[in-house]
Amino acid sequence: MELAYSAARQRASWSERSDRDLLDGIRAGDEMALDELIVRKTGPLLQLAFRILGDREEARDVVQVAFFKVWENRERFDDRWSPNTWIYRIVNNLAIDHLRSRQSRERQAEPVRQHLRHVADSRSRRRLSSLGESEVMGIFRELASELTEKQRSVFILRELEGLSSQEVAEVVGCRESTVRNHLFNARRVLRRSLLARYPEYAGAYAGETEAEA
Amino acid sequence: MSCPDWSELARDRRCDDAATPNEPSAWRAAVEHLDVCDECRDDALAADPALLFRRLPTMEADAATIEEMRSGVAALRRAQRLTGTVETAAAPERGHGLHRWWGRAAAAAILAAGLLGFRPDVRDVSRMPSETRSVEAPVPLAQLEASAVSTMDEIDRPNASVYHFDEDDLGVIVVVDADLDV
Repeated sequence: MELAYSAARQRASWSERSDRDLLDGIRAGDEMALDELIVRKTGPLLQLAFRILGDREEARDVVQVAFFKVWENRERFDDRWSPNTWIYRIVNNLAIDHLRSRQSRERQAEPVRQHLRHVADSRSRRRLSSLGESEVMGIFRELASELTEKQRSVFILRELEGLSSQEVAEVVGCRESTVRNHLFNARRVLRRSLLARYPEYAGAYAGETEAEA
Repeated sequence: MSCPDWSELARDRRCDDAATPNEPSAWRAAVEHLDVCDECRDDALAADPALLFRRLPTMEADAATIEEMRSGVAALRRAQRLTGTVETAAAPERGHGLHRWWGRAAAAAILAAGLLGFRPDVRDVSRMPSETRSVEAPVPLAQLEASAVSTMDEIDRPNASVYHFDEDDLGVIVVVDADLDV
C-alpha cells in the first residue's frame, strides 16, 4: 500500500519537471521519468510520424520503438542537445527507415497504383479547397514520394509542425542554410506537382512559377 | 482577423523564401487564420497551392492511446530483458515485427500455464539467466529451490528454460524450448 502511494507521489513529482530533468532521470535509470516522457511526448511524436508515414498504425509502431530506443540509448544523450530535438531526431530517422522499407515493397505494385490513380483522377475533378482531410493525405503521400527524404522531413517539420529552422537543422542533421534550401525545393516540387494535377490553379500562380524557376 | 490579401502575402514571401530563417510574422498570422477560416481557402490555395497540406489530418493522443503506448514500451523493455535483443527495425509488413513477438510470448505463456497448472511461485531459479534473476519477485530462494525439481519433472523437457516476471499486478511465466513444436 505504501509502495503504491509513494510511486504515485513520485510520478506526480515528475509531471512538474522540465524535459531536461526527465532526460536526466531517464539517464539515471528512472522508469517513472520515462513514463512521464511518454505522457508528454506521445501526441506530438505520433503527429510527426503520422505525417511522414501517412498511416496511423505505422506511426504508433514507430513512436513505440522510438521511446524504447530513448531508454536503450539513454546514456548516449548529449547535454548540448535539446531533449525535444533528440527525440524528434529518433522518430524522424525511424520513420524514414520505415518509409524506405515500405517504398521498396510498393515499387512492385506501382503499375497497379498508376492505373488506380488514373481512374480516380478521371472520376473526381473537385477543387482543392473542397477536398477532405483523407483526400489531402492521399495526395500528400503520393506527391511527397517525389521529394528526397531530407526535403520531406524538412517540409513536415518546418512547414507543418512549426519547428524553427535551427531545430529542424538539428533534427535532420544539416546546416540551417541547407534546411532553407531543402524547404524551398520541397515547396517548389509540391507546387509544381499540384499544379500539374490541378491546372485550374495555374492561372493565378503561373507568373510566379516562372519567376521561381 | 479579417481575411488577408493572399496574393500580396505570397509574393512578398516568395521574394525571400530561401533567404530568411523564419517566415515573416504576417505570413504566420495569415496561415493561422487559414486554419480556422473556410472563406479564403480558395484565395490562399491560388496564391500557394502547397498550403493545401495545412489540412493534412491530425493524430491526437488521448489517455487510452498514451496508456497503450506506455504498456507497449514496457513490453518491449521486458522482451529486451528476457531475450537480450528486440527486433525494432522497420518491419517487412505493417506491425508484424512487434506483433510476432507478442504472439510468441502469448503462446509460450499459455503453454506454460497449462503445463504448470499456473503455479506462479514455482520455477527453477538455477536454470534462469543471471539478468532474469535480478528482476525476480521477492520470493525466498530456498523455497523456490525446494519446489523446483518437481516442477521441472512435470514438464520433462531437458532443454526448457522457465522465466517468471512479476511486475505490478501482472505475472507472466514463459517457457522457452527450441525443441517445442507449437
